[in-house]
Amino acid sequence: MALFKYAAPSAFFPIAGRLGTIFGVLALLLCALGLYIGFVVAPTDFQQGESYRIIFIHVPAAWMAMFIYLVMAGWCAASLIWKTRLSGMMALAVAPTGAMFAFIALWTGAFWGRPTWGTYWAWDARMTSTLILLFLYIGFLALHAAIDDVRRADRACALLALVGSINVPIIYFSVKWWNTLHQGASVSLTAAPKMASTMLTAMLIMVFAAWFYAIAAALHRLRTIIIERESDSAWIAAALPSLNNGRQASNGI
Amino acid sequence: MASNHAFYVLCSYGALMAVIVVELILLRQRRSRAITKVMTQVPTQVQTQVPTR
Repeated sequence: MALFKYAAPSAFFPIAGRLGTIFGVLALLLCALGLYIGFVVAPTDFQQGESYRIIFIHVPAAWMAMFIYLVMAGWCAASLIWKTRLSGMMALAVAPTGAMFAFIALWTGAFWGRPTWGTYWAWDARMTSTLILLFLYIGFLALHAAIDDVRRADRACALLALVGSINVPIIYFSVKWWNTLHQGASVSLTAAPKMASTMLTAMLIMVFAAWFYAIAAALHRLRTIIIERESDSAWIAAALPSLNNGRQASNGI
Repeated sequence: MASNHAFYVLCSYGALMAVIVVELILLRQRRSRAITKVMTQVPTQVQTQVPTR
């Protein structure tokens, strides 16, 4: 299969650099557009006032935290099934960004909850399961750091990620399965939107900005992981002088 | 923007910005360390065989 060609770190390394830059620029542009619509065009909410504008980062962060975990579990499954080295590296590359989004979802949720519900935190099913998601990300990273042999670490973390993926549907359906302080789904494919179109547009643009940022960060981290793990290979030593020249040419970036 | 709500909005967006900056700085430092390690390695350690996957 032609795609397996890119399962070799040496083949994917240059592509990851180019794609990472493209997705990073797209994320920046979409973020600027989303924030402009969210703060300048979208009206003030008649019930919540200005605090509702936290939705433009809270919902994208919460969605990305769940989505990235599923992506990570998918790469872990690929790593166990096909034993491709790049799959384990990809899983490790997305985990810190997923943890970052889980933290942001919890943090912004707390700062939205205080003016709306009167409390920063409640042991509500949605919030508690999202906190467990953050712990799963941290556990994944800590377990990987604790095992010296990276291939064994990949396998152990793959099992943890696959078992932990059961938490994602629990987070998603928690507002349906239990009576929660947290509101129901913000957007549904089967129902009419519950918010003004400008608010929804800004939120969806921010979702794509978060998605593209996650891809860009993961690809750049993947390149670093490849450099770390392939440091004994001839091709990486050959690739690095051009990398350094590129850095000098772009003023250290 | 009501001042009490401005605090919550600023804390949320400020945290996002701070976390992204920290993530990017850590990423850059890790990359620099990895590149330095490869550049300072003894050439005889270099493996010539490139694994296919």
